[in-house]
Amino acid sequence: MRIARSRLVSVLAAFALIGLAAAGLRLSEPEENFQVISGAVGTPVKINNGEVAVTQVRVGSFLKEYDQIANRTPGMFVAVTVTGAATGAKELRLGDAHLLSKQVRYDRYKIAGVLLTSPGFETTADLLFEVDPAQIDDLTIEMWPNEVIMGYHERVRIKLGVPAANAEQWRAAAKDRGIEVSRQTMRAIP
Amino acid sequence: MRQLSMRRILFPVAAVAAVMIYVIWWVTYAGIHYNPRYSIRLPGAAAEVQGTTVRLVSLVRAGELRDAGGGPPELPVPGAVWLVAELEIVRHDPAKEFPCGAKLLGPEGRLWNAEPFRVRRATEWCKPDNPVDQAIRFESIFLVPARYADKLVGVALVDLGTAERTAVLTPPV
Repeated sequence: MRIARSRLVSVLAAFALIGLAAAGLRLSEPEENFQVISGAVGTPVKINNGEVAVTQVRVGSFLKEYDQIANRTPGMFVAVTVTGAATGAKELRLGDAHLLSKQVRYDRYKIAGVLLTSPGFETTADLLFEVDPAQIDDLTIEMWPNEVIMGYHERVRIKLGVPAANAEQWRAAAKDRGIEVSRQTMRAIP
Repeated sequence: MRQLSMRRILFPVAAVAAVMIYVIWWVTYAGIHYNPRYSIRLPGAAAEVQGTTVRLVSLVRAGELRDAGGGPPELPVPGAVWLVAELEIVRHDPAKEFPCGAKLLGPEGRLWNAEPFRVRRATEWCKPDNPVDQAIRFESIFLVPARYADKLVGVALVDLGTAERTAVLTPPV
């Protein structure tokens, strides 16, 4: 038995297979493929399953717990107050976060936990970072939700308002200043 | 137009078919395991989960959680209310344990986990290894935004050990 071959069908089949392979690769490589959603301090940013906002940024050289000095750093602590609101039908899981400053990346200070928010609620927590005061230009927080399929995930980047021109003011503000770390709070979305 | 033998075309057709079978299998698996499916029971009706019969005795909305030890009540977070579900279970199969995965199902598939609380309660918390053939009552307590408290569907008995639809118990009328 012989079948007529159409070049068009072959080309379309080849493109379909290449597309399928590309999608598979993209789904399996979370570190390299993500959509960046930029925002500003004080303004909520929409992501899958909700909104994220940075409401406050504080700097200091030591941490306070119940009016006692808990930890000191030769560098600088940055406390970023983040609110995650689960505005959709699913819970909002903010996985991890780090601070970016040009070529430097700062991971969370101490153990990083997932900021988990049930539908209809918003959760506020302080995310803590220990940074090198000499490298804080354009400090930007990057956060991302935990998702089952990582290939099309989103990362929120919010500049904390530290341009090179006023980095010195931030360094001065951190000197001999303590940061009272707040406990995580939750409330229903108003 | 050139002619091609059936044998030469079989390999690419088989390859495409294999890829399609894999994609269909994956989409079906994801649909079953990542998108919850529910089976809503009649008011007061029981459900079977891992060899245990479960019944929702009551689902009560509360503005505060009373302390059985006489201490101060626990208030919900701003804008929310407590929902106290009392469930009764009878374990039939000693080889299986009740998964204690009760969640509250709200409108449009919203799910709330049981919430930890600080006060002492008169009714027990859920335990997986209950005595066989003995009716046990326990509480699951949820925190829900007040605006959804009148739109709840019921208590979903989430069991990750099965791909069957999740049974949703509704309180007796």
